[in-house]
Amino acid sequence: MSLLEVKSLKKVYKTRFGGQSVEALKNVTFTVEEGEYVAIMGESGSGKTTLLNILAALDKATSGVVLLDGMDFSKIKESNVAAFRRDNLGFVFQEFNLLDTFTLEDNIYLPLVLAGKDYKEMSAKLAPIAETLGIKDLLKKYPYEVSGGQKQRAAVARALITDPRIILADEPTGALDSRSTDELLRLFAEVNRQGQTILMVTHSARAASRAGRVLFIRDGEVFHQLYRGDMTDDLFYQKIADTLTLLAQGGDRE
Amino acid sequence: MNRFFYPRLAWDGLRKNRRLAWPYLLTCICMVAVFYIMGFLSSQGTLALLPVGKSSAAIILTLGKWVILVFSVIFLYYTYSFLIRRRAREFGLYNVLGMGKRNLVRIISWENLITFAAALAGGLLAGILLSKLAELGLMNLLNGTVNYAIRVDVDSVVLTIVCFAAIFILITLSAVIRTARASAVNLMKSENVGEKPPKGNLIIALLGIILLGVAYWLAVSMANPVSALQWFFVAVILVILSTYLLMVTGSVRMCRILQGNKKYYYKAKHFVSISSMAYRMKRNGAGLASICIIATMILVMLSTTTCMWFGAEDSLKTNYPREINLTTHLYRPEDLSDENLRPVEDAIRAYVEENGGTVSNIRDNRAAMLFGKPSEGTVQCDYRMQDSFTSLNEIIEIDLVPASRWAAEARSSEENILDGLADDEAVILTDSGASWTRDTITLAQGSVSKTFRVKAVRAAEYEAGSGESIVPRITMFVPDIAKAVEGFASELYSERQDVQVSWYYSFDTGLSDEENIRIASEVEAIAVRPLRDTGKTAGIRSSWAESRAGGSADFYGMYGSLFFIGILLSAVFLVAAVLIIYYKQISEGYEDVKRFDIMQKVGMTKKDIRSSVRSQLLTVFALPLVFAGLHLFFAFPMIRKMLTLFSLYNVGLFIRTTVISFVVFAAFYAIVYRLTSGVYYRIVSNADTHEM
Repeated sequence: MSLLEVKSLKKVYKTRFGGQSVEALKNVTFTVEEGEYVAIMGESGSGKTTLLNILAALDKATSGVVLLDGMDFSKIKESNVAAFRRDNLGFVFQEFNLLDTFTLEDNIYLPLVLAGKDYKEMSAKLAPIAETLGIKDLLKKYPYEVSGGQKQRAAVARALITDPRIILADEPTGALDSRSTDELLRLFAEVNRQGQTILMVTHSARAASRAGRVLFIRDGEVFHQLYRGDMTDDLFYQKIADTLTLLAQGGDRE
Repeated sequence: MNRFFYPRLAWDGLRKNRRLAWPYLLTCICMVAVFYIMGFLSSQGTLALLPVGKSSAAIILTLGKWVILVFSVIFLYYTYSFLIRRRAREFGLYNVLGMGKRNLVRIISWENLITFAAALAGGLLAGILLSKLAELGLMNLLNGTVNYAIRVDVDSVVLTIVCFAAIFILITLSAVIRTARASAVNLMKSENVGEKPPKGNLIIALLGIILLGVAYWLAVSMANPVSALQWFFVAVILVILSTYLLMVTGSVRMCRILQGNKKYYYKAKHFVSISSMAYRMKRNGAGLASICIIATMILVMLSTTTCMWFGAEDSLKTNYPREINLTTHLYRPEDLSDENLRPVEDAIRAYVEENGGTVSNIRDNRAAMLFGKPSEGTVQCDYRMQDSFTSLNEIIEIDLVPASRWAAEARSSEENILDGLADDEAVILTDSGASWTRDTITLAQGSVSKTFRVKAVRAAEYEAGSGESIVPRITMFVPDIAKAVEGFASELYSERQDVQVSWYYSFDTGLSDEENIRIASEVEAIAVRPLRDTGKTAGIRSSWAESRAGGSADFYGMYGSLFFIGILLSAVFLVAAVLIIYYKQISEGYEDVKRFDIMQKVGMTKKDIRSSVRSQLLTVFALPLVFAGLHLFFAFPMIRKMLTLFSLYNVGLFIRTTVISFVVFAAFYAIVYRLTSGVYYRIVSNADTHEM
């Protein structure tokens, strides 16, 4: 069984007045295996944000099924959704979404505190993660005192600390400079190598080229997918860029 | 460039930010109006309308006026700094688009000028209308002549303009400096950057605790009403200062200490609320402190003025123990004898009976009264002391009463105490905070002194309405008061007397109020007659009689106007408090929107959020109320002493009005908080949680 199964996902938005409806997702089907590192690419308006919102249980699909470890998202009670997210999903956002009021350490602890864990357990969990992400010396600092790259690493730590089944990353490199981007992508690869499943939405070909597989979405459908196989980052990048050009030209799959 | 360019840009800026700018403008208008009304009420023109109690009303109102000004400075400064921070992004954009710092300064200045003009116009207009309303209410209560012409107090208008111009200049300068120092990028980002977490300076927090301690100690340790009155304002200032220090710094410090306790801090319930409180207290602490001070002022005013109003009857009975009250001063102590005074009583009775009444319920007090400074068991007497305000702190009153009147005046059946009382012995009654622990008491006047062995000391038990003295009082029962003060009244025949010999004779007549008022004026003359012909050295030196009915109008007039002022000021402060609370909720709502959004994304349930918000709001709600209650509790003894200056001795009544005021205020406060919390929830819940 796959870790994440998405079957015939459809999402229709109704405009507030009148019956005009917009189809954000038409028919999306794919699976993600345990330990995979998948990138989802697509232009603005292609439906990738809608997809991620549904995968994050922040939004409900009009029809179709999302299964995580065989559990159907639509069967989760509204009151349990937040707890489900906390226990199973890890999030990394473009805008970091760290809270000003907390030190980096407390920001990272937030989901565990919400889950009612005690301090000893939390700090034992944080130590190896902080080591991997290279933020050990920054933990006592507040978000306003550190750089964007450092903030994003703290956000990754916050996502990892709950041992999530899958990490959902939304344009994680979008607000970073190129050095920080490289650093973050290296860390994602490292975390993935240790067995963490990652699903990343991006429109940066460079970011996508570090993933093991890339899904292209266009007009609410999975248009194409590329496997890295034995390709080097550069070769894979070239392949992705070509596909994007094809996509932009509105061409069909070969 | 069009010369209206900057004003228009400024106007647009205000209009686009109206959700925040409106409450701010409303707050400004309210502050201006309140300040003007206070100035108006404390002006000579208004005070002249009061029949009585001008000076105490002037003190209360003038104090209130300056307190309002202090609030305005602190509160407007803080709210504006919040406002400008939210605008920083817009200014940054202008800056990026090629507008220089100089131009930004012009926009900011124009914005403030517009706000200032609107606040002043609206505030003064509201102030003038409301002050007329206040005046009409006052006149109505006092049955004065109602005049519908609008009266404007020019001095107050000028003062209001000057003070608020200064405040706005201060506010503008701080915004200009802040903007000038930041780079365009900083400005663009500043809303997201967030402010530095406050540290909670330990020394300042300790200073706050010490100041509060001193204020409380002052309030509790005041021995008599006069020193209470003198120190009251010092205590008020200390309380205001310490409240600000504690709310702003102390509370941050407190949160930091709680954060240090890992077991406590890392609990879902406390984690979010403590850290965000620590963070916001620096700015919002000032708002909380303002609410707390206002609440305290309202409570003090409500409890005291309602106590006065409902205690007016008591107070009236203290000052006028019976329907007719005769006070006489006699020439010599020995004149207080029964044989001397019986003819006077007979003449009065005859007169009252002629008019169809009966003399009953007689209250007959006789004393030779001295004032002096006690030291080492000796009381150095000087009658002039009671006229000097400053020496009131140190002096005591000594009443010498013939031992034969023990049963009548001490209201004690403990008669054997006086058995065999020698001429150099005395039985002492103490009251009004007096005490005597020595075996002897020496009365001295100039070079003359008399020492008495103290045979017994008893605390006086007065019947309700008999009244305490402003200064500590010792009543000495001696066999012969003439002998006791022999040689004291050296200038017996001149106007100045070191011993004041008084006879207080009060009685009921059973007649109507009008009759009593008429009889009182007659009794005054009748009292002097029987003794007049017995010689210049005997008899009654002066006498005056008052009827309770005659005094009642004055009393209710004075207490009524104080009650009215109390209610009015409470209403005014209440409006200020409501505005502050409303503003706090709005600004915190906007601050928290993003935070709650993030927390939901990382797995905070709606239930978690609700409970966290509730615990935080409750703390923030309760803090000013608890502090106000504490302030009130410690102010109680001090205010109680001051009330004795108004002949109010009924502690039970004061406790009741205080408790009722607190309960009523707390209920009102809770309602306002609930309603404004709705505003907060609406802002927070409008966050689009589905956007990633």
